Amino acid sequence: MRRTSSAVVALSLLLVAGCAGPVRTDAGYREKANQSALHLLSAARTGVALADIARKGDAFTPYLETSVGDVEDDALAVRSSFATLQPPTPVSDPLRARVDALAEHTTHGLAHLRIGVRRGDMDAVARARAALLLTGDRLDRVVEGTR
Amino acid sequence: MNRLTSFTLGFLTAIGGFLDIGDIVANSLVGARFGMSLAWVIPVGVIGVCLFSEMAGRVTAVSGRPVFDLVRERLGARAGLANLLASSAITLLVFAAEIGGVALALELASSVHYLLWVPVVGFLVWAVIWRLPFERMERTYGLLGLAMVVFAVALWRLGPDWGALWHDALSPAPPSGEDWPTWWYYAIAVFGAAMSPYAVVFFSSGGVEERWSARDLTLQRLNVFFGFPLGGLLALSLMAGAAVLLHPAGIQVDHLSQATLPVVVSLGKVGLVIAIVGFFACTFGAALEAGLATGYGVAQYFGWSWGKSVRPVQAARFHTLLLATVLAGTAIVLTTLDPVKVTEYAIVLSAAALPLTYLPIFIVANDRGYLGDRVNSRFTNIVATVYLFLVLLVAAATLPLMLWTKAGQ
Repeated sequence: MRRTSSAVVALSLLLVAGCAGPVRTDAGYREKANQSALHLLSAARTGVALADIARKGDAFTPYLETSVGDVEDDALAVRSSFATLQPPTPVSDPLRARVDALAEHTTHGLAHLRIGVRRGDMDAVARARAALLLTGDRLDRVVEGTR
Repeated sequence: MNRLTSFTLGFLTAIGGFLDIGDIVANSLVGARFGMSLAWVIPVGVIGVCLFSEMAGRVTAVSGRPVFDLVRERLGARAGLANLLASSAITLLVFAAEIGGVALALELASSVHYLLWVPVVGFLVWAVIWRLPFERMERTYGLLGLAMVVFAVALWRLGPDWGALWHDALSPAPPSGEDWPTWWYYAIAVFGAAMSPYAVVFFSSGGVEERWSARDLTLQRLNVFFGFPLGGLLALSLMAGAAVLLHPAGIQVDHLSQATLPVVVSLGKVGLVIAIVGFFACTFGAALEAGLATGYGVAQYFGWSWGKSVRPVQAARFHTLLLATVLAGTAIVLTTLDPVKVTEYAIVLSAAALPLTYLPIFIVANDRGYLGDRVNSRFTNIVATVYLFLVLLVAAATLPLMLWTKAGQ
């Protein structure tokens, strides 16, 4: 019984260690930045696709609201999670600034898209789309640059 | 004519009922992230589930008893208990994921937060299990699940380069930027989703509910060997739609809404409505199956009276257990755990527990005491042995890969 409990504790520790380890090297920080940029890219590009769908009138408002809300929540979570990571050395500071700024642009773009969709304001949707498209391209470059 | 109608309905039900939240999430997620490089896993999983479902169905049709009733008798109480504990825990997790899936589908249609739908869905699942006759329940949700054909239509409308898709499918290697351990981790997820153990428990017990006999074997085999592979094609179209539209854009599937994008982009509002109906039917049908599978497994192990066709007063413990399962599944989703994440863990852990389900079926299906001359043929045994090695390998690799890849991050 005691052996089983020890195994469960050991497994839990391994899982926790694997999921939330601190960043001690610049390479590790780059990897975290890459993962964050990938998730933000996914959110931004989903926003672009949803904006296109909204402008063509190809979906109902509840679907669009839910879908934009989902990716906006994701982007906010990535942004706050990345912000809590400490760059291990000053070498990583520019990367932190870049990803942080793009995370902010993504969340703002998605918030504008959500508002535009709710109000049925297609001009606002088009502006949000353009901003998200640009942010997506920049995130794409970060993803490529941190591989 | 009756036989033809029965075959057609059973066949369509097998196609429509093949997909559940695990298939929807796993195939969309994998298509978006790895393109078609993991498409080969779907036929591997479909052949496996056909093989063992046919065995389970044959055992039930010939012996008149569900396969896990015989497992306890044949392998003893301890082995039966290990089987029961593992499969019940994972089936409960799958059940919770399905309830979450139904709630997410309703959220897409209404924009009302999915957590508000969860108690309603839990009640509806219990009400349908309590009130609707078995055959009507199975047929209704299986046939409605055919709405998922919309993903195949959407793929065709997207006008992909079929040659490139085929080439990707024949290039089983991770795309650039992805590593091998993560690729294998998701291969296990797709495999686990296709070979869900609860589906076999439900299939076998459902045979008893529908009073299969040896005369039904041909019909049962036709449903399995034609219906399931066509259901597998729907899984493949989910993956291909995501590979064509989402993979090049860098969109990952973290939400059910992202899985619908190929349909909405190519078919607009009509496609969206059909896709949501399909999601609802698949996940609701699977919630009924997973909920009942939990009740069946426990009741069969303890020798209680069980079955939807038995009056509740005569199967009180079975029905109380079903109610407790519905409450537990609902409570799990109400903890605010992300249903998509719950689904991902459920299918991967299902894969880890596959030998506990499939090895006993294999042993019972070779026992002449139960099956007489209808035991497995030599060919079936050869293929099944290969699969048993495969599921053992998958079971051994699952947890190390989960830790190594940080659950596929």
